[in-house]
Parts: sequence; structure tokens; C-alpha cells
Amino acid sequence: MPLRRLSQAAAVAVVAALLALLVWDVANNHAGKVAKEVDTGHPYTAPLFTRPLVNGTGTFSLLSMRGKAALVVNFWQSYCAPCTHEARTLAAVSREWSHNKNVVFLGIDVQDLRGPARAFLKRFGITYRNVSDDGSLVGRFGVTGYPETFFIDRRGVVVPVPHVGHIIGPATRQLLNAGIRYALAT
Amino acid sequence: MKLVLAAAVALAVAVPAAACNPHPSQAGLEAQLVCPTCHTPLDESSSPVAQQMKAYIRTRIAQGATDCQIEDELVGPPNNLGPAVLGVPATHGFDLLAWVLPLGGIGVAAVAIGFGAWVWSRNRAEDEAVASGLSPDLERRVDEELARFDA
Repeated sequence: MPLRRLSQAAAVAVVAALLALLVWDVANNHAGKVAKEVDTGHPYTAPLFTRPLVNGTGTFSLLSMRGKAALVVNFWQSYCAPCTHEARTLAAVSREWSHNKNVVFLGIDVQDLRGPARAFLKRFGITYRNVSDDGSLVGRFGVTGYPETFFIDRRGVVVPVPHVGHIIGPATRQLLNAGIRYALAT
Repeated sequence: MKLVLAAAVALAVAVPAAACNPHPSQAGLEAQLVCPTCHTPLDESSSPVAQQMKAYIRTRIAQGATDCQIEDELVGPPNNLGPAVLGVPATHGFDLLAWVLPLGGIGVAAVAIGFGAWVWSRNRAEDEAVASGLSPDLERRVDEELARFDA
């Protein structure tokens, strides 16, 4: 009889442990939180990441930018048609802001092979830093399609650009400039 | 002893399976890998990234790369597509459960079956001992009681 009770207790313990694991996973899962919060007008601390550079060697760490510059973070893929529509605009606006050390452009190339990714950057004259992502940053930022653009201020907070939140779809010059100015002002 | 033997057999099967193939085939690799955007086997996908991956595999096979090298290059540098392209759960974090639970379940089931068999054989032996353990005096008394009951 004690053996039976013991096995029952063990079964209950296993179920409780699995339930606790599920609760922990749900509680620690911030998937989609950044985009959702920003689009409803709430600033949200950007998830930290370090990723290998596409155009160059080494890595880029978001933490290295904290306290130094505001960031324009653009998610893209080389085979995404809307990304090609905004690529020249992004390249041009990044050149216009290149004199300002308080503004940094960063591309996040999602699930792309290096060859086509580099060819894309070369084709559109993009010279700012780009990192490759295996898809995990997409989930952490809550990106639902490509391209999407976020603005991060010097404190490392993703800021909600008034009336926009973050840019979904091809970015225009006006939206990019508005986002940069808002990120610099906060 | 049986458990050790089973583990040895499993290892003998697993080790050759894990070895690298120096002459991989395009079809073989496409069947093992997964398209990271549509999550279907690469050989069934025609998405842009799948086509990029197929072209990369073709080039690397022509260059003499092993299947392990090609998989490593797709998962990590230089392409960094991540472990999702391997089509198997990661061996760390929450995904580790996908490996641990089935193996743990098999282990627990094996122990439970073994324990059940041991209990069952023990009870049977006790029953037999009880059945054949009547003393002549007790047997005579049972017979007498039965005869009186029949009368």
C-alpha cells in the first residue's frame, strides 16, 4: 500500500513539475511583446542580442550602443519584395544621418544565406552594419512580416513613434526621419 | 544484463548513423533539412530560402564538402540559419524536453514493467506455497468440515 501511495505521489509530482515548466515558459516568453507594446504607445526595453555581422567579420552587440546612440533597426530578407522597395530609401537616409554620431542604422537579415544577403546589400548600396538572425530575434521583437523597422533610444528602449508605433512594411523617408527624431528626443 | 546489451546495440546503431558522409547526395541532404520559413522538408519546399539552400548544397557538394560540413555551415557561420533547419529539436533549453521525456518515459516504463513482473511472480510463488502448505491435520479437519456440510 505505501508503494501505491508513493507511485501516486510521484505521478502527481511529475504532472506538477510539467505544469510549472509550462507556466515558467509562458511567463518568460516575451514573443511579440515589443511590437505589441510599441504599437499601443508604450515604450519597451529592447531585448539584448549579439549577432554575427553579414557585411564584415565579428559580431554586433546591442548593449555596446547603450548610452551612445539611437538605433534604427530594420528587419529584412533578400528575397522579400517589399524589402527591395525600401532598400534604396534606407541607404539614402542612413547616408544623410551618417554625420550624426548619435544615430546608428542596423539591419537584421533574417534566415538568409550569406551570399544572397551580401549581394542584396551591394545591389542597394547599403553600407551600415547588418547582422544575421536565425529567426529568434523575430520572435523576441514580435515581427510578423518583412520589412519592419523599430527605433531604439540611447537608453536601450524601443520607442513608440507617435501615430506609427513601429514601421510595418516599406519605410518611407518621412517615417524614418520622424522615428529618428523621436528616438533622439526621448 | 539485458539492459546493458540493449544499450550496446543502440550505441552500435547510433554511432554509424552519426558519422559524416564524405559523398553526400543532394536528395539525401534535402530530405534531412527543413525550410526555416515554411517548416516543411527542403525537398518539398520551393520557397525562396529553400531554393537558396538547395543551390548552396549543390555548390558545396561539388566542392567536396561532407554532409556534416554542409549542415554546420547552414546552421552556423557563415549562413547562421539556426538549428531549426535540422528538423530536430534543440538539445538545450525548453526543447530538451522533446528528447528527455520520451527517453525518460521508456526508462520509467521499463522499470514499471520489470517491477510488475517481479511482484506478479512473487505473488504466484506465495499462492503456490499456500496451496501446497496445508498440514495433514488441517487437511483432515477441512475434509471433516466439508463432509459434515454435505450431510
